[in-house]
Amino acid sequence: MNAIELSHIEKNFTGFSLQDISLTVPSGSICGLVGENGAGKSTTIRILMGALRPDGGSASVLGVDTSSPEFLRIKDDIGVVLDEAYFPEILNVVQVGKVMAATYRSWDKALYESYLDRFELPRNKPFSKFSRGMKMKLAIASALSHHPRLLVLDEATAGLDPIVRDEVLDIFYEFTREEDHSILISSHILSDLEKLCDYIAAIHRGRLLFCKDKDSLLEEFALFTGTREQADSLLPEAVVHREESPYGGVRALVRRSLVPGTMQLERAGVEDIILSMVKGAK
Amino acid sequence: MKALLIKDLYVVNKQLRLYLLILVVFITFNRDFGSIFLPVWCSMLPYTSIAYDEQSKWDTLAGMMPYSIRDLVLSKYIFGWICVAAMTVVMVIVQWALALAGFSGGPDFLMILVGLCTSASVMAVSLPGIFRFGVERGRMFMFLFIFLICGAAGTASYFVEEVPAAISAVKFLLPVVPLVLTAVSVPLSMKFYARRRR
Repeated sequence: MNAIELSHIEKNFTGFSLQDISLTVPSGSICGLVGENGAGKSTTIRILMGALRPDGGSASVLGVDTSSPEFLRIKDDIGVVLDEAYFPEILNVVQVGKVMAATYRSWDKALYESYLDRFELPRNKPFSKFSRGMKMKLAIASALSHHPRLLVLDEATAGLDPIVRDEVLDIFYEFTREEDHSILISSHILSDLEKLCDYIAAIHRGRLLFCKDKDSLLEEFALFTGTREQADSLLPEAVVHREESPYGGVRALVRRSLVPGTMQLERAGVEDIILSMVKGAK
Repeated sequence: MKALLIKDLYVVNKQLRLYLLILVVFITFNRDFGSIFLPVWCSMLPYTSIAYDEQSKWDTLAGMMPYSIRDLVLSKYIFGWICVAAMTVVMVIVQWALALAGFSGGPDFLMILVGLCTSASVMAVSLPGIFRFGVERGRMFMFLFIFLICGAAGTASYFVEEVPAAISAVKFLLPVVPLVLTAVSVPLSMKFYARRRR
């Protein structure tokens, strides 16, 4: 079963539209959603969670259509962490726990407490006095303490210092040790996604550039560095994007299979691939 | 629904303590005004809670949690009704206690009925505006309605010699007003709230 299926999603706003977004996240996998600010990642996530109605196309999560009344029940199996915690700031962590306990049927108070201990979150301090890292940890503790099968993370690691971020990524790893647990994570930090994800989906200006499994993506593309003459000798369809330096050198993202084996290519990281594709799309 | 009510209760918890203090002051010095003013003041607590929701962007998160639009909207009405009812109960108890101690003549249930009906009507009229335009702009509806009520009461007192007697004559009809208004208000608020997801 697929954890997430988006099929030809369309959404129009004044000055921005999401066009023909189709992506699939198989159950048990981690999919990274990347794109520049305003590319449409958060809109996609809101549609996926039924918080926004699409103008066209269909979305299903954990096998249930998000526009159906049953989806409300399925939300019990989904943990959500957004770019901020979004709890009323007057609450403390104990009160947040009580609200969540009344929200989710499978809320596990002991698990929540264990996360609070692990994250060293003070029990009675108002949430408004928390640092950004503490707020995000609380949001993560809340999202994980009702035994979700799917985690939806929208810029959940943005603004965290590297130590906290690493800690948080470890928790996401732990979460996916269960076979049927899946994650959709949107982030600007491409190095995190490269470490964490099985699949990468890139959105640019409301359009899906690609949605591929990470290994085949890394296999398919490579970096060419050479002279302008060597670059000109490449097949046009082999070059995704090329950049020329003022000294005559060329650096290009190329399709490995279309480049002669005699040419030296370097391994391209996810960041190289996405940046080149976005520049190429411009 | 229960979760949303608990959340709202936590959010206005500090204000409730202030309300209780004001309750004692009003009941001691002006029983009749307090009987109407305090429940009406409590009917504004849902706006406080909505303002906190807006400030923290709670709605964005709530839209992704297992709450239906019906729960999100109706919880604000129920929360307001609970606050008004609780304030009325406490007010009656305090008024009785003061009467037993010989400080006042006990609760005036006609004024309490007027207070309850006015509170429910204020919520019914203003909440759709708040769901449609947000707290800042939506609050105008509430003030407009309160001014209308005050204006109507003032005009009535000019033409009718015995206002309490006139209210008493229609007391069984009074609850019909908030009931009808609420029956229209709740679906309208749900419609406005659903628009946010378009």
